[in-house]
Amino acid sequence: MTETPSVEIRALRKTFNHGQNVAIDNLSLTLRKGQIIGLIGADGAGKTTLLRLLDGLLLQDSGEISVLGSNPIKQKIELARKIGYMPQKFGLYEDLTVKENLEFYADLKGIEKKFDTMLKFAGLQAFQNRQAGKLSGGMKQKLGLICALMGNPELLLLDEPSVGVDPVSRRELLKMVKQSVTKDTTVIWSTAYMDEAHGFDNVIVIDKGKIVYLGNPRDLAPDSRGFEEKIIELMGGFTPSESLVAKNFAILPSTIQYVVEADNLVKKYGDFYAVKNNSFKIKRGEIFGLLGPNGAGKSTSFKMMCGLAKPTSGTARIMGYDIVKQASLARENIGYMAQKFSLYPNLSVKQNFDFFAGAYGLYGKDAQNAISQMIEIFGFEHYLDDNAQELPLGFKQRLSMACAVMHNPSVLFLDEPTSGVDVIARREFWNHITSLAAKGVTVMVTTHFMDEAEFCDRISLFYKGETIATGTPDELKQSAAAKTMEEAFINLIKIREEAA
Amino acid sequence: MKITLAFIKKEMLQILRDPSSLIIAFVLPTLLLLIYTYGINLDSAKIRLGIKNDDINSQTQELVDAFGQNAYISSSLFNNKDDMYQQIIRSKLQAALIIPSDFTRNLAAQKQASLLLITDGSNINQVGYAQTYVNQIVNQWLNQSGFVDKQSPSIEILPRVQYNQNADGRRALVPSSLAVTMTLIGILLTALVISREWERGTMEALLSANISPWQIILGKYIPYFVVGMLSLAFSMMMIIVVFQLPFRGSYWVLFIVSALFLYASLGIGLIISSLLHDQMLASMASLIIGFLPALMMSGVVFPIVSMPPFFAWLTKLLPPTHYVYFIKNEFLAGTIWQTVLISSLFLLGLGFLFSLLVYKKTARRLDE
Repeated sequence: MTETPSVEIRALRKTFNHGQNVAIDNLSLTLRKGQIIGLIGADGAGKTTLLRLLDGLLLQDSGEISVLGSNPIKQKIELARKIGYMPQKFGLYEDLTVKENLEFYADLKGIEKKFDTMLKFAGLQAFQNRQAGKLSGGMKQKLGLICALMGNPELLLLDEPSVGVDPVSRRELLKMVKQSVTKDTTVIWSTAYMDEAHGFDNVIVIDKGKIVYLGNPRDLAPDSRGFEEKIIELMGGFTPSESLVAKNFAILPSTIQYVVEADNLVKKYGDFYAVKNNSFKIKRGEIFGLLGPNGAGKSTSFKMMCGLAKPTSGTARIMGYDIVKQASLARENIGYMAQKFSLYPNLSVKQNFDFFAGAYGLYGKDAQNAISQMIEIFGFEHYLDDNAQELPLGFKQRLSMACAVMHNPSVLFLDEPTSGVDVIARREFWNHITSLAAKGVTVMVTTHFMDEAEFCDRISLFYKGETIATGTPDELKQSAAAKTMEEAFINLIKIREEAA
Repeated sequence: MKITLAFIKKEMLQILRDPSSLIIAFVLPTLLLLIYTYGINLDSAKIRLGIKNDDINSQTQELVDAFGQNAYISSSLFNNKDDMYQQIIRSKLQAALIIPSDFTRNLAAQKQASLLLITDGSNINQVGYAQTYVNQIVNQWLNQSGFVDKQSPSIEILPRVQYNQNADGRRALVPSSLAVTMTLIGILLTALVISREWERGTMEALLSANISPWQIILGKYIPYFVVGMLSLAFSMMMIIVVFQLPFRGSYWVLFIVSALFLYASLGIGLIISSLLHDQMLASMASLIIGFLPALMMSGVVFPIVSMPPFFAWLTKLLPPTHYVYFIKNEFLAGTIWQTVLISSLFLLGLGFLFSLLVYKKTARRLDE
C-alpha cells in the first residue's frame, strides 16, 4: 500500500496581472510525508506564491494540487486544521500581547490553550504580557512560529521564517521546529540561508516558476559553501565581473585618514542603554561590519552615525564633520540604506528614482544618467512601473541600495542590505560593496549572514549595547577558537554571557 | 461560535488598547455637539443696518427709532452717504437704508413714496433677512403713522410655531446633527478595521485559518456596534442632560431606531474597509462617502424638499436621511408610529443590503 503523499502537484500554473507575470509555470511535484524540505529560489521565483497556493490562499490558473489528499480550495476548512502556515509578515497582532495572540490563534484553531512548554522553549515566557509589536525581530519570528505550530499540523508551511534573524535565534527556530514535529509531519521551509537549507532532508530549487532541482542537498555538495555554488549555478550562475556601480562611481578625493569616527557614543532610552560607550575609527576604503544578535543596538548605532538619532552623549564624525553640529555637511557624504524598507511604497520604481535623484540634488542630465545606470545595473527594466510595495523582497532591497548609492557618497551605511535577498543578488551586492570599497568608499554594514562577515575588513561584535570584540574576521575566529564565523559569533557571546 | 467570540474578544482588546477608537467614539461626538450647539446657528444673526435720513422730521424720526428698537437689527445713523457705502464695502454693514428728502411729502400727498435699501449681495441669505425685516418695520410704522386711512380693515397674522414654540433652530439642528456625528463615527470606526488587517499582514494568517467570512464579518460588526451604541448613549445624555434640550419621544423607540441606523452605518464602513486595503485611503473614503453626504444631503442643513427630484431620490439611499427624519420628530413631536415604521424599514433594508455587499466583498483568498 502506498501512503498518500503530503503534497502532490500536477502541471500547476499561476499568473498575475491577467497572465502577464507568470509566477508558477507548469510545475509538477510529489513530496512524501515526514521530512523537512527547503524551498530555495531567486527573488520573484515563485516561492511565496507556491506556499500560498498550497494553503488555498490563491487559486491556480490551471493544474491540480492535492495537499494531504485534499483540495486546498474546496476542502479548505478541513485542511485549515491540518496545515500550519507562517506568512512572511508572521500575522501577529502588534497591539495584542504575546499571550493574547496565542489565545486568539488557539481559539481559531479550536485547540487547548497550553503554551507553557512552547513559550519556555522559545524563551518568551518572561514576555507573555508584552505587546507583540514591542518584541525584537527574532522574538516576533519565534512567536509567529509558535502560532503556526499550534495544534500539531501535519503540514507546516514557513515563508522565510529566518529572514533578518541572528544566527543564535536561527538555530533556536530550527530546534523549535524539529522538536515539535512528529515523524509524519512535513515541513516546507523557504529560506535564503544556504547553510540552513543544506541541513534539510530535501530541497526544492525553483527558478522562474519551474523546479530546477529536487532532492537531497548533500547530493549536490558535501558542505554548505559548495552547495551555495551549486545553487547559484542552477539559478543561472554568477560570474563576478567589474561592478558597474563602482565603475561609474565618482568619489571625491580626500586626505582624511579616518573617514568615520565614533567617540564614546551613548544612546539611552529612559533607563535602558541601547548603546553604551561605543568608539571606533574606520579608515577610508574600509569595510566595517557590525554583527550581533537582534536588539543588540546595531541599528541604533547606525542611526546615530547618520544623524538620524541624537546621541545621548559622545560624538560621531563623518569626513571630519560632526554629525550633530555640522549635520548637513556630514550628511552630504552619506548614503544610507535602512533595515526597514523606507522608500515610497505607493510610488513606482521610476518615481522613487526620480524623487531620490532630486532629493540628493541631482538634476537634468545628471539625474537621468544616474537613474538609467541604476536601472541597468540592478535589473529594474521589467519593474519600472510597478509600485515599490509590490516588488519582491529582494527587489525592494535592490531599490533601496540603488537609491543609497545614486549620488556617489563617500560613506555608505548599509543596515542588513542582504536580508531577504537571494544568493545571486547577495553575490552581486557584495561585488558592488567590495568594488566600491576598493575605489575608496568607506562602508559600514550589518548582516546576519556569517559568510558575508568574511568579506569585511574589520568586524565589531555587538552584544547588549556594547562592543564585545573587534578585529579582522581571522582575529575573531582565533580569539574564539572557532573554525567558522558563525561558531565564533556564538562562542564569543557565550563567553560573554558566562562572564556576566 | 467559539471562533466568533474569540474574534470579538480580540477586537475588543484592540479597541481598548488603541486610544484612537475611543477618541472617535467619545471625544469626537462631544466636540461636534459643542460645535452644533454653540458654534452653528442657522437662525439669522442681527442685521447691521446703516441709515441715512434726508427727510428729518418727527415722523421719520419715529421710523428710525423703530429700527433702533427691533431685536433683529442693529442700526446706526450716517450723515454722509459715501461714509455709509464705505462701511458696506468693508463689510461693517450688511444693509443701508436711505430715506429720501421727499419721503414724508409724498406720503402726505397720498403719492407713491420710496425708500432705498442697499444690501450686500455677497451674502444672499442676509439680503433676504434684511429685506424682510425692513419691510415689516416700515409697514408697521406706516400703519401707526397718520398717513393711512384708519378706517380700512387690516389683517393681522398670528404666528404659532408648532412643536418648537420659540422657533429655536437649535432644537431641531442638534438632534439631527446626531445623524451626521453617528454616521461619521460608525463609518470611521469600521472603515479602518479590515484594511488594517490587510495592511499589517494579519489577513493572510486569518484566511489561512479555519475562519469563514461570516465569522470575520460578525466579529467586526458586533464590537463596533457596542462601541457605537455606547457613543450614541453618551451623545444623547449630553443633549438631554447637559444641553437640556426637550425630548418628547420614547427612549425605547429611540434606542431601537438608533440601533438600526448604526447597523446601516457600520455596513458602509465595512464595505469601504473590505474594498480598500490601505488605511489612509479608507479613512479618506469614509469622510467623503460618509460624512459629506450625511451633512449635505440628509436634510440636516439643506432641506430635501428643495432638492432637484433626482437628488431628492438619491438621499433615500443614505441612512442618515431616514434617521434625521425620525429623530427630529422623536425629539420635537414625540413618537409618531408611522414615521418610526417608515424610517425603521428603510434603515433595516439599507443595513441588510450593506451586509450582503460586505459579505460579497470579504475576501476568501488573497487574489480576489
